Amino acid sequence: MSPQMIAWMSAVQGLILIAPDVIRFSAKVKDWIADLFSAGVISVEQQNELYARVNEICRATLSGQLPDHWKVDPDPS
Amino acid sequence: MKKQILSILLLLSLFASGCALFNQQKLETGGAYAASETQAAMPELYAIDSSFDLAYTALDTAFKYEKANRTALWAINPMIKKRMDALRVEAQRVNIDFAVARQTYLANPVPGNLSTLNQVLGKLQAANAVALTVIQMKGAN
Repeated sequence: MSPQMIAWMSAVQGLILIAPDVIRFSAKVKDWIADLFSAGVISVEQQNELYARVNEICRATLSGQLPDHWKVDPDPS
Repeated sequence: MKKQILSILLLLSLFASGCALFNQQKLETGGAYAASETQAAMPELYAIDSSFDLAYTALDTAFKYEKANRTALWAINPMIKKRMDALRVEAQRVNIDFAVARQTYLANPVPGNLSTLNQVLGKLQAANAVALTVIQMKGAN
C-alpha cells in the first residue's frame, strides 16, 4: 500500500474524530433545507435560538476570541 | 478549476434562492425577528442569519477536520494546510465584517445596510465553497 493511500485512509478515519461536528452540521443542513421548503411559521424558539447563536459568534469575533482550529499554526516539520 | 467555479456558483444560487424562500415564511410573534412595538419584522435578517449560521458551521467543521488530521493531510499535499490557512485568515476578516455590518443593520435597518450584510455573507459562503473544494481536490486546483 502506498504512503499516499495510508495517509488518505488516516484522513478518512480522522472523520471519526470530528464525527459529532459532522453530525451537527448534517442536522443543520437538513433543518435549513426543511425550513426552506416549509411555508409554515418560524417559531419563537427557532428565532431566538438562531438570534442568540449568531449574536454569540459576532460577539466572540469582535472581542478577538478565536477557536483553536481557526488559528494559523506553524507548518509541520 | 471549472468544476470549482461551477460548485461556487451553484452554492451561491442555492443560498440566494434560499433567502428568497425564507422571506415568504411567517415569523411567530414574540420572536427575535418578529414585529414588536419597537421594531418591524425582519424576515430578511432571519434569512441572512440562517445562511450565515450554516456557512459558519460548514467552515468550522472543515477547519476542525484539517487540524484534527493535519499530519495525514500534510503527507497527502502540504497545499491543503497552506490553502486552509489562507482561508482561516480570510474567514476571520469576513466574520469581523459580518459582525460590524450586522450591528449596523440592527441599529439602522435600511436596504443599504441589508445589502452590505448580504455582500459580506456572500464572501463567507464563497470561502466555505473554496474550503470544501480544497479538501475534496486534495489541495490541488
